[in-house]
Amino acid sequence: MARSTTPRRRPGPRGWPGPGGGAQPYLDPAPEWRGTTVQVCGLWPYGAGSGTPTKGVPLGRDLHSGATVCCDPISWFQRAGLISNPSLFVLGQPGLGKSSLIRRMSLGLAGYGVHPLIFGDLKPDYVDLIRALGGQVITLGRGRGYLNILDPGETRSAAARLTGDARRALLADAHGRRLNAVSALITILRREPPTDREETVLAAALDVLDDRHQGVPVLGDLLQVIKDAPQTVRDAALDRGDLTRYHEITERLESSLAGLLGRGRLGDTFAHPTSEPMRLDRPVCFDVSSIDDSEVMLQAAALLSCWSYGFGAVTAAHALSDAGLEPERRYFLVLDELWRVLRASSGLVERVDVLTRVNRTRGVGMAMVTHSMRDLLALPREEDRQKAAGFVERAGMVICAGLPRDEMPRLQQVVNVSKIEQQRLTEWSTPPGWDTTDSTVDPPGRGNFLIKVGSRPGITMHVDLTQAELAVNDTNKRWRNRQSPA
Amino acid sequence: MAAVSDNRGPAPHRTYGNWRRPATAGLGQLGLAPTVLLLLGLIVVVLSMLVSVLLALGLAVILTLMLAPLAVRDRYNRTLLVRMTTRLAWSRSVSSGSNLYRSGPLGRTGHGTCTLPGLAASSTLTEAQDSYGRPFALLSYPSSGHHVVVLSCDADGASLVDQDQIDVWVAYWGQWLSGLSTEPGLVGASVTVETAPDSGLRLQHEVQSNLSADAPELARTMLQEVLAEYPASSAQISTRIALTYSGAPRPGHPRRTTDDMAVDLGNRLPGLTSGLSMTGAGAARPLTAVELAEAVRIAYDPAVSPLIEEARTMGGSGLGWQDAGPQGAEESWDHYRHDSAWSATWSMSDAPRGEVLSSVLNGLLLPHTDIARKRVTLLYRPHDPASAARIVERDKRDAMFKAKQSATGRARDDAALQAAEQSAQEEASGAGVVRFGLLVTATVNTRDELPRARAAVDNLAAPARVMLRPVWGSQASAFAAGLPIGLVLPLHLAVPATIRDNM
Repeated sequence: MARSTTPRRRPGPRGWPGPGGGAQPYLDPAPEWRGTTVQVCGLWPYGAGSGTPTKGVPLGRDLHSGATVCCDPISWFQRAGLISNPSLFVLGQPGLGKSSLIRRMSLGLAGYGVHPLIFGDLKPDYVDLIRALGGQVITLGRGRGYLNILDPGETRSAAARLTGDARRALLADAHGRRLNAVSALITILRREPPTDREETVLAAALDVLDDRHQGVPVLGDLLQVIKDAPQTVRDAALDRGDLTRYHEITERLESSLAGLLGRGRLGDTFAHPTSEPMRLDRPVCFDVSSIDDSEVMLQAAALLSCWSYGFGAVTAAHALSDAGLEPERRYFLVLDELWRVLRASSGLVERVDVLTRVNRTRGVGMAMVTHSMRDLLALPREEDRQKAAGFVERAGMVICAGLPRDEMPRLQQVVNVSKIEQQRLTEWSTPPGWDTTDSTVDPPGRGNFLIKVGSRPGITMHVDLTQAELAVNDTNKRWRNRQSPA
Repeated sequence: MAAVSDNRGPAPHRTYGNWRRPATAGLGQLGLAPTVLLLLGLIVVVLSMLVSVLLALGLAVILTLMLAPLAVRDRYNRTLLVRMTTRLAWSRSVSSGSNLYRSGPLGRTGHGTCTLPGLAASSTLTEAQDSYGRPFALLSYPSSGHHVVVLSCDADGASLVDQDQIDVWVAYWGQWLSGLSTEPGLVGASVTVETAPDSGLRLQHEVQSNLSADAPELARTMLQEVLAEYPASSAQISTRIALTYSGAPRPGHPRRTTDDMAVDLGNRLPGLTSGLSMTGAGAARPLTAVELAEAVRIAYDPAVSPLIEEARTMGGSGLGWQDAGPQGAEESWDHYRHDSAWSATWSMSDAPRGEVLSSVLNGLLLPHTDIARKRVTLLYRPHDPASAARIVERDKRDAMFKAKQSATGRARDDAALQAAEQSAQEEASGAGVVRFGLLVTATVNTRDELPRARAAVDNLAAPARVMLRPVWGSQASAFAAGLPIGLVLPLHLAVPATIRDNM
């Protein structure tokens, strides 16, 4: 090569020589100051921040920098590694756009191939969205649809396709979930949890039911088993061979179960075979909006049954995909109005706690929505309060909309919210002006959210809905309908 | 700041200040060397009066002419001598054509490459691995024996953080800076905060690469609408820290080659990056060779930024250091044209006066609508602990000397003395001593936008309490010094630093 024989020109220390070489013979260094490091550090160069990660569903714009904020629990957990588990807790006053946020997240995730599963829609906030996505809407309510909590749903058929440990694990899981659901319903009905003895009796009775019953049992069959007093159940009840004693022990249990069979406050929603089984290959929404708000216990029971049934189905789907029998599916579970369940009866926190531990399975993101920390911390029992606070602490991230000022100390107990962040949240809960002539004026904080992950400084953002979404985002439909004929 | 009990109201904010221009003791505006010259000259004048009054007068005039360029200073505190030198060097540079740079196949550089112009022309870029196995770029300047590593940070920003947390971060930043003075061979460090418009390509890539094949129509439409509407007017901020080490022989150490430095720095990097996490800089990691080449290429030619982002999403641009520079550049007296853009660079001619809060630079660092791209670079040169002790003691002596010059005792001199004593105290209790400067580069896409960018920078300087001076006649080198490539200009000067300091 020419290079080895004739030496090429080389750049000098100040650049290539000659015209057009860009050499810099004269340097003018920036003037320097001198100080001790404890003072010079005051010219701190990190005040501007570096923006937000671009991973996840685009939700809105950063209120500070205007950059697009992308965030959803699944992407942040799986791809970005920003959070330690794929769950999200949303707190915020009503009317500030919590449902819009969750709808945006669900819609975006649906675009990313994740099925949103809405376990209990009380408003209905999500029915339109799920319909628009081509999903399944299951209606529950007095005389409108039934959900059999003893129905293993997909689990039974899934277990039939599995073998060995996977099958055993799935069946054990389904058994536990069923027991848990029955206990939870009894808890709601009685306003106190069943005793340990009663739970043992229930567990034994469910075992007997599995052995004897052909097809899918309903609650009436369970009651019949307890009434029949088979030996294993008697052993579990510790009746010492005395049938009278057995009947004494199971009397309350029988009456509670009878209450669930249609003659009690909870109606017959849970006493009949499931009217529409849940599909696992599409978005699903359980519409419980026909239950009146005054029926607090029925609402709670319906929500809890949806959760139990839904989580069972998701576990089955995962067992199948783990065994390679079904394609890997990802789900985004939405548990809206958590406070209704927690408030319905004491002792339910435990049940919810058990139910919601499904999210450790991969590919399942979960969002829990409630109004305020007060919902969680106003529970009568101290251990319930601790556990409820644990829901928030355990969540990978917390998203807050506007909150009243007296919420801040409670919020501070579970997430590290700085004073400035507290101020923002309080400002966002301010109502709009008194001007009633312009109905389009939004409350000042509507659509504004603070995303918190651990003790890192939060991200404030505003969710901007797009034209396509507006059709499925009309949450005040009932109001609008009433006004339009006038 | 120590907590203050409740009945005394909110705790006062921690303030920072007490930095000084390195100056030697002299009479009035003069440094040490001109003072000595003046005294010697006066003796000669007095002696010559014994010979002839006219001769003495003549000598006095000559002495005045010699000292005037050193004594007369403009509002940026530059002596007449410096200004004259700058003018002269600029006209020579224009007449020799070295203010122009043409590279590439038809350019003036060797091998048809697009190397960086000026001081960085002979630099080489290699990649090594640190002890965590992370690849890092090692930039070497053979002419000065300097080796540079560049870290990229992910700062959380101060907008939603309480002041006491920020105070902790700032204190740790001070600790990190003082740690630099004990880094063996470290000659300079710089922090570059760059703001640039968001092209929206990252978002586009995020959405398009994740969009499922059987996504429902509604979700698809929504995501398309987001892509069309969201990215407008948002900005990206990147923070980079360049550390410049000298491979020159030190007592007990022979000269170190690039390979030696790679091993040495690779062992050091994990400590340096983990130390940054508490300073508010967030998670820091070393830049790879390709990333550094891309960053420099985008700085010289912002128009390629979308192409590079696109290439990144397709598996990397693979840009080499030989192609990181501009194809053409033209240095003017007050601006610098490079490839597709025009830039102007300012240097800090006066540090923030008085006591400032740690938020003082925030306004300057945040994105500004009138400036498409902006780089703010803080340049640090730490003193090693031995000379730090000497310097603060000498400062104290000099301040005392000045304070004693006038019999009445001027308040300003008393304050200076107090400040020097405080610095000595801080140094004695473990703080390091560091020299620092600041450069601001504004880059715009058309020449017409330059005046608006100039006005914007002027507006930003006032709240940051700094005085900025356009680096007249030396825009190209100032632009390069503002890049995260670790150029330490004071160490490239022809006049040794000891002489300059004494002027």
